Amino acid sequence: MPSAIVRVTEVVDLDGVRQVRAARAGDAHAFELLAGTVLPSAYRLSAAILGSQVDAADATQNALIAAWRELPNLRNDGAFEPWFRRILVNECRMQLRRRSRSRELPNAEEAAAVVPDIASAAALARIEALDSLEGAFEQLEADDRVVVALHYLLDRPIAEIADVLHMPNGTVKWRLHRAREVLHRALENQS
Amino acid sequence: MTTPDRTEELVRAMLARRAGGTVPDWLLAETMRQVVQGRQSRRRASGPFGGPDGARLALIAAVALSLLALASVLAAGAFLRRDDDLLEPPALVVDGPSPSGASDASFTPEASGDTHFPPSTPAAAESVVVPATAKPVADVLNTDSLAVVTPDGDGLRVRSQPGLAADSTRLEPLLASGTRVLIVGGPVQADGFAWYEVLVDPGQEDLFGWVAAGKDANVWIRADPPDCPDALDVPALRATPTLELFVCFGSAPLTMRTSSPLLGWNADTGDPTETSARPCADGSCGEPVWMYDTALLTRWRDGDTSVPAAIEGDKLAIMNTHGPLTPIRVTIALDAPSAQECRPPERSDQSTSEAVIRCRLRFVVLDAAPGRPEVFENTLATSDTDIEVWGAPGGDDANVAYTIPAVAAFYVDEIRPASADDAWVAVTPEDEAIGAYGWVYAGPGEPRLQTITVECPGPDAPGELEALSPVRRLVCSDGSPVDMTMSPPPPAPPAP
Repeated sequence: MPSAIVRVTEVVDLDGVRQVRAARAGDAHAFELLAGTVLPSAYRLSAAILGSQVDAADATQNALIAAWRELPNLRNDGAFEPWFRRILVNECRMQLRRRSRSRELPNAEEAAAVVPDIASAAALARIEALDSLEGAFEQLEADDRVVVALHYLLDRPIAEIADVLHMPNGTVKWRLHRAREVLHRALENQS
Repeated sequence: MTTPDRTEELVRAMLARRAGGTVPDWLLAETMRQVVQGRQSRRRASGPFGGPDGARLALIAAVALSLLALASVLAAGAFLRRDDDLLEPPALVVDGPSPSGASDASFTPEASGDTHFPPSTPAAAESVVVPATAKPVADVLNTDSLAVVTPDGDGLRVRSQPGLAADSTRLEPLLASGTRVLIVGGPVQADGFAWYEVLVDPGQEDLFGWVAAGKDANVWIRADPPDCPDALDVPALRATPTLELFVCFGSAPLTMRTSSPLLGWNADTGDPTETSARPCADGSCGEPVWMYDTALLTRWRDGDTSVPAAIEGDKLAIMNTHGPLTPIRVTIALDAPSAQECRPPERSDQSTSEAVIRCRLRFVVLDAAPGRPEVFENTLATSDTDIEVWGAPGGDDANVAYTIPAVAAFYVDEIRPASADDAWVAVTPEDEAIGAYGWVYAGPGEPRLQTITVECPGPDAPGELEALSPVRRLVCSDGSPVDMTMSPPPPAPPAP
């Protein structure tokens, strides 16, 4: 299926480790390069978890600022990205816990932005299925949402998700299984 | 019944839909503004005596200084580089351009009046006079070349001035063996040493100052030829550190296509040359501000290749006044002429020489122009204005066949580039009542063409595919043959 034009902004990896070192030493320009590298995937992940582009921008921004502040504590210069992902996921979890359930659906303007301009009947049926699925996803616990997003959006393996969330592998598997059941049931009910 | 596989596929699609928004242009800029604002507090907190561990650090520093002094007394010869006051008279006499031929003559391009750039200024090797009894400390190193700290030079001191005088501040940290430096100036003969002005590889220590090249037969820095790519192109840009690109290619231009930069423009005033809040907005950068206010240029449809670049106002206006669906053809180069105008921020201890070399290491947009609107073969597209359709490519006005109204969808069958910036696009309107196969001109200033996302049914729903219009079926079949009959359906067979 052809995809729409997507602006992806990533930094050429001239030397990621050097950039991390320079940023840790206080070089804001080096940090901007690092931030540019992780920004697209970070924004995608937080938008998927939070369901709101406004909240996704907030979470991504907060996570980047926290990363800048905490960078001197990063032990492994080569592990910036997973380290940053942990900060981002924690920020998303905090946002989910802070806001009320009624606030969790994307507003109308944002929802309209993701609906194709020209939709066939078949596409509309698919959109309805996705809407049902999204409704069920919104009802998942914060950690379950994170697990599902990391696994199905970013294709992260169980072990890495466990590391990000500081959970045993078995707990991640169980949460993934439980979330999948909820989502599957939602589709069954919809159809 | 929904199968587990179908559920997974739909979960992925749902997540992709939620994640599908474009990263706001302002996000990185605003984040960096806050980062820069917070930088001072972070520096204060982490300074040697400013944080909660200040007293402990002060104690450690005092102990270290005492040990260093003791070690200097016990083994002065072994610590010459660290204890500069014990250095011996010079073994090397440099006959520079100074009228007096004094040993502190400077060979920097600036001092000799040679300010052109690039290529690098060859050092006047023939002007170095070496006493018959002395060994040279090293080959003379060229300006704008790379050098590396040798194992003998491990622990090399960087100073703010050439020489050992009190006004030559000792900078930290000491350079370890293997540290790479860019030669910016020198050699300057002072206090018995040949000194080079260097920028330490920003990825290693990020220092700027002067280092001594060696003593007697001990060479502390030696030339370190770069591993140059064959050509300055996108693969080279992706794989080669900036220092190497600078040394290998100087100011050679590179043309690439990019989208609008991540440099937000001021939506309040509507002035596309006036940037919104950026790290430099608080006056913490040097002059000219635009040289410091770099933006990320991402190669068109290539998320793996981006480059930070400085963009002057007129180029920024061109880039900002075209939407994200119009690629911008930019020509960028390191070592731009405008880098020579760089000056350090006020209240900074940076020298003009340092400001200039740091600017020379930045890519600068030399030229920007809108490229042809972007559409892709085997997709559905539309335009926000009416577009004329020609019977054949070429632009003969007599050949205009019909007009596709704004917003109507059409299939893009073929793109035939006419030049670097325009193309003829073969189209078929989705609504066959509008017209048949024809050619649309796509170039700068022409009605913008936009790709439409088509939601295709999955492989387990062939009936849904049949329900689509012929051009959508073509898109969803990814170019494989489908029934494209666009004439009226055959008459129904007569009733028995």
